[in-house]
Amino acid sequence: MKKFRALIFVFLIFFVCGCGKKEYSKVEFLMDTVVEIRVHHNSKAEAEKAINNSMEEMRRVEQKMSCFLPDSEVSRINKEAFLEGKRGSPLAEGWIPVSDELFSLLEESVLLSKLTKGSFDITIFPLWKIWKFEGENLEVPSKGEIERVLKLVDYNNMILQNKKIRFTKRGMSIDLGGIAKGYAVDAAVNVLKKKNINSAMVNAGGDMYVLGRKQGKFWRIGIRHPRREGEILGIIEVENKAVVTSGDYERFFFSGGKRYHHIINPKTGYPADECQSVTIVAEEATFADGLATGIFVLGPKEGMALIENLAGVEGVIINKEGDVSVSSGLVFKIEYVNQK
Amino acid sequence: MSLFLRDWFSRLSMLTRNDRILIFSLVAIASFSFARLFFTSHEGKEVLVKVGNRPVQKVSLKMDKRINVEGEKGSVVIEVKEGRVRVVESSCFQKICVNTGWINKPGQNIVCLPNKVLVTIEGKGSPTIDAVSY
Repeated sequence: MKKFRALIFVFLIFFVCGCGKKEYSKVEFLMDTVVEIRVHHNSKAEAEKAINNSMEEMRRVEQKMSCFLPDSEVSRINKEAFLEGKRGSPLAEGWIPVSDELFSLLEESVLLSKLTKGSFDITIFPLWKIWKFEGENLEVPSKGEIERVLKLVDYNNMILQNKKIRFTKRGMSIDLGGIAKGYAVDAAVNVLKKKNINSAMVNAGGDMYVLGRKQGKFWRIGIRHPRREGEILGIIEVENKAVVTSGDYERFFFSGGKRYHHIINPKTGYPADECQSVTIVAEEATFADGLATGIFVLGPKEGMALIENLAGVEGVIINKEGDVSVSSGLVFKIEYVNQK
Repeated sequence: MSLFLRDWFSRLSMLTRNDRILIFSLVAIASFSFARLFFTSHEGKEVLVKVGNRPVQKVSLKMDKRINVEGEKGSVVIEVKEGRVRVVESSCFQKICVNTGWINKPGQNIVCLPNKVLVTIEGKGSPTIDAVSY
């Protein structure tokens, strides 16, 4: 027996080291994209319960914030919040009460608009509607149509007060598409935290938050090459951070030899063309989401200056020539990885 | 050099029987786990095809096969060949899924949003990255 003592000891060590936390994951179509949640935990039942609960939370956020679902709170605001208000409605002068949750998201979007000098603007929905990126008959709207609609786009005409909202122009409407995905990610992460999960990733179509570390190591996040499908331009290593990218390659079409993509500049009414992609690394996905969109429109120079000015925010900007700039606090390993 | 070797041998002879068992088993376990890691990264990879949130097919990546699935807008043709998988044809508008090309590593996936078709590779292996931000 004594002979085997050493052997048993070695096997014990082996087993203790080998039994780390396992990874559990789930992928679902949600919010017009693919959502993946990965959790590291030693209990399968608890991990799966936490994943299901946070998927459910994201579904709830989508039901509330989508401007494409007719019964969402945002759609109700779009229908009712113009100046005159509904005739005979008890809501005087179009003030629409807003839930606490949506109100603070609206306030955050105004903050992002101010930071990016109006380059991020949720009142962009009228423009989005005439560009019809949701449909399949993609064409450039007429100049006159863009000019007419552009007058309706300005976050200063959306008044927020005492948990109520009002638009000062008839025909205004809001689209939280530039921020809601990030918000849903944060909401899902909060559910996981409440379930005592301390290592996880919530990824909504490339916009993600990584909680803790992955088996003791930083999470390695690749940033897509903006011009080569399926290839990575570089890698960042992070923990407890949101990583969100806005790129001009997700939805686009060609018309008259010119490429038109889906990130519209709220000031010109046409697609923003200063950047190919902007990646933001921040403490919260909501903020990172809005900032990535805003900086994409704002442009690489002013955008990088803004990133450097904001505490806890880092980023990678690829300008229209394809040059990469990285903020001072971020290590971006340029690695052209062909994923194919 | 020979001095060093002699010294080393003399130390070896100082080892007790249990020490040798310990060293032997450590080496055995180390090589066993390396071998396991090496083989699992090449074997047991499977292609999972989902439509909406419903799994419709699961096939080994080693078997060459063409899979037809009905997505929300129409049919999608998936090809498994030589340990890789791709979407060959899709009824969607932008063909992002077709343009993604081949994938072959666990954790990689191909998505057709309009059709709500998801092709994922499942299995063990250590991908070089955990996710892609795009």
